[in-house]
Amino acid sequence: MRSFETEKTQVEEFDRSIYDIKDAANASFEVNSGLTPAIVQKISEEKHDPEWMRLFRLKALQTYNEMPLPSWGPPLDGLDIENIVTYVRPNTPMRGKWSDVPDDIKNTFERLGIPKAERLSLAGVGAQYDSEVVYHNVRAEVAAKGVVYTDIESALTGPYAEMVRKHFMKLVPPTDHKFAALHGAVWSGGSFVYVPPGVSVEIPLQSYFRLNAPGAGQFEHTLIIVDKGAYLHFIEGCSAPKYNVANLHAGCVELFVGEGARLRYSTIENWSKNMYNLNTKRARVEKDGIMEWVSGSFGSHTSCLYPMTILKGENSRMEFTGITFAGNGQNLDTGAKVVHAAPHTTSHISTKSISRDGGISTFRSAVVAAPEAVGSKSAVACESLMIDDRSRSDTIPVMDIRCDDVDVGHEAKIGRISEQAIFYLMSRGLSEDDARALIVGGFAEPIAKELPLEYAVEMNNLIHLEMKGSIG
Amino acid sequence: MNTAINQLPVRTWNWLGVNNAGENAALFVPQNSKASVVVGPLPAGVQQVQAPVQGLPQSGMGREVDEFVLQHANATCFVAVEGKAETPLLVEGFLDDARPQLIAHNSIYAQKGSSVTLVEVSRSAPQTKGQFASLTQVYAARGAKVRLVQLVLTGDDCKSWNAVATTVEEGAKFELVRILLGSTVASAGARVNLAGQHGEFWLDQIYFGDTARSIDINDVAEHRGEDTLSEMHTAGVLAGNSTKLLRGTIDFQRGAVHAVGHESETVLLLSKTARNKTAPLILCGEEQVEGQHAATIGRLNQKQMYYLCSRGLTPAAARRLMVEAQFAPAVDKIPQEELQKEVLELVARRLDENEESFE
Repeated sequence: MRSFETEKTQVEEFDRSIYDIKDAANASFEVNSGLTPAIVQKISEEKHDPEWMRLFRLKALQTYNEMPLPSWGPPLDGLDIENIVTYVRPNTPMRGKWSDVPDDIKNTFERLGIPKAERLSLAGVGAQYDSEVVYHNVRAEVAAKGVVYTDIESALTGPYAEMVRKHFMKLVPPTDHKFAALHGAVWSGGSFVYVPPGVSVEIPLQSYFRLNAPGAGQFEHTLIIVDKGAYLHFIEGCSAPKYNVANLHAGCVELFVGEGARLRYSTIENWSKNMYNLNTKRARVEKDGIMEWVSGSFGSHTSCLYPMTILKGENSRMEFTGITFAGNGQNLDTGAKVVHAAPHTTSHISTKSISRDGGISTFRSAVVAAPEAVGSKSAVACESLMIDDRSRSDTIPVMDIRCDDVDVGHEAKIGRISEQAIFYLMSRGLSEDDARALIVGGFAEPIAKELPLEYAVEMNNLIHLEMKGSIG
Repeated sequence: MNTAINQLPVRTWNWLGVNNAGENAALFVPQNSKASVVVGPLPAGVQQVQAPVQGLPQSGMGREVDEFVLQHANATCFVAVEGKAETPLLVEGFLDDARPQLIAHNSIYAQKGSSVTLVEVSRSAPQTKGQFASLTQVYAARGAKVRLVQLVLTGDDCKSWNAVATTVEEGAKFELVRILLGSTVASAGARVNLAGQHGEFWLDQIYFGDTARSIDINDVAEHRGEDTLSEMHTAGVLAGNSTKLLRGTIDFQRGAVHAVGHESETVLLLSKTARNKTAPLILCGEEQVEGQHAATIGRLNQKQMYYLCSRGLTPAAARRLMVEAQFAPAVDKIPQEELQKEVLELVARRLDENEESFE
């Protein structure tokens, strides 16, 4: 046995275990698998939806049933909605103190480092376990500024009910695609954030989504409104233990960036490799507003994730920085979309992808410049690295330009690790494994530097984890 | 309604409308009429043969166009090449009211070490509502060099479909020069199978969209052999209410070790109402490759315009100079000076006709 094979086994058994620990199934309630009007009604009842939401869900279900599966993208053959449990309520209501959260759930989040991160570097945390938020807290000084950070169910019936109703699934209507319709029918959990005009939330808020139940779906809804001149950094993390049955994540993120406001939305996605991650994220940016996406995709069996930004206001801007790491058995179809719908808007999309050990990575993008986008600029750069000849890496960008006064650039590169660079590093005393990991780390560095420190460390660890045993 | 023509090798979001050509590119009902085609003198080393090349991949336009041409061709030119053909072979088609349809099936079998240039030109009489569909099949055997120059100069009431299917063997080179200046709906697509080691595919193409012209292109370089090379470069101008969709795919298949593919496009937008779509794909199933794509879409460089005007050129002359510079890599590869002149004059006329929209 060669040395790296031993090492690879150790890595798989040791490092991944943090994410793979399974809690005993201990749900207080769950619906039957499948998707019927009765199930949707039941979810609505259990969640004490207002009447408009109950009707909204049923209409979305109808839309779901009428829409075909996408005719593009990775195969979804292994996903059968009849086998998915769309609602699993954990055995606790939402708590405001970790000490009140039941031990099994609390221990899971402890292992993932969430309470510690909250103490050290976050302004607030929301933690979702299966279909419901089990913990939500925001620092008093942040709340004192008028910042609202709560679970979306509370917001739906509380003082911000009208605001939620006005914005809920307006950016991503259920008619957008089949899985948006599914989300509209069975959504549960997620966060609502409102940052009042001029308020700057200096340290990030974080929501962490954990899916424990085998064969379940998670359909959280995140709604963030950053008002005029305000600033927020929101971090989203997600993981699940690995099962032999398919799990489904069809969340929805709707972001409203007000005039002169700035929102940074960072995601480290590390779902287990039996997960179908069919998530929809969309932002609308008003005049002089800035939307920044930072996205790391490491987990999932199959991912379809393309955050979209609509630059609605003059001088609005977006930046998307993403990395995708596709390993054995993974088909990760990721990218970004931007619509320039106003003058002097700017977009910059920069992505890196790495494929190894039979993994499939696809970069997919769309840049649309509407006739109103006079004086707008867009730059897209995507780089792909192939680690071996059993993997795939495809790049599928599209530009649709309907305005003459624009400046649109696109660059794509695909290639392999330079043997010369490996030789050089090995001549300096590094093993081949370490040399490759160092080069891949350098390749991913522009993304890592966009992340908060602790997440950059996590990303680097994930890269090292994935790279171990990649030779041969 | 969409067609099965010019299908993107890997589908993407339907709302972008790039997965295949639109309804306006749908094929026509053949009238089984005679065609007006003039085949120039055969250069030394070029012989007419009875049958076209067999066993080639389908064209970039897809099976629908290929089968249409194979079934309804009213003009054929099948040649085999041995040795080096010093002069180009010229095939000129003409559409007029008496012969408004030309369905041309051309084929080149370039034997080992041979070289040849085939120039295909299509023109039409003014106001003729004609259709021109062609399938050109090329087999470049080991070390052969084939240059195919396609000039679509048909009038504004015509539609055209130009399909190309090619296999390139070891050490062979296929050059495609495509000049899309005619037809109200101009569709084209080449698929080049780089089967042999060190095989090369070079594409230089230009287009000029104006009025309500619609241009739809689907080019695919399939790298199968080791050390293969594709260089696909396009320059275009869009004015008036024209629309253009360029799909360009570099497909590195497993085994294409050390293959290199480069693709670029420069689009000059000269009107507020023109619409440009670009879908440059790189598909990669092999680790040891280098693939690159770059696209630049925008207005004429205003600083360059200012400089040229400060040197005494009129804005129209400066514009023409800059457009000609963009088109030069393709135009320079047209082997006959008269044809080069015809192309440049047509470009100049188009620019003049669209002068108002530039202001």
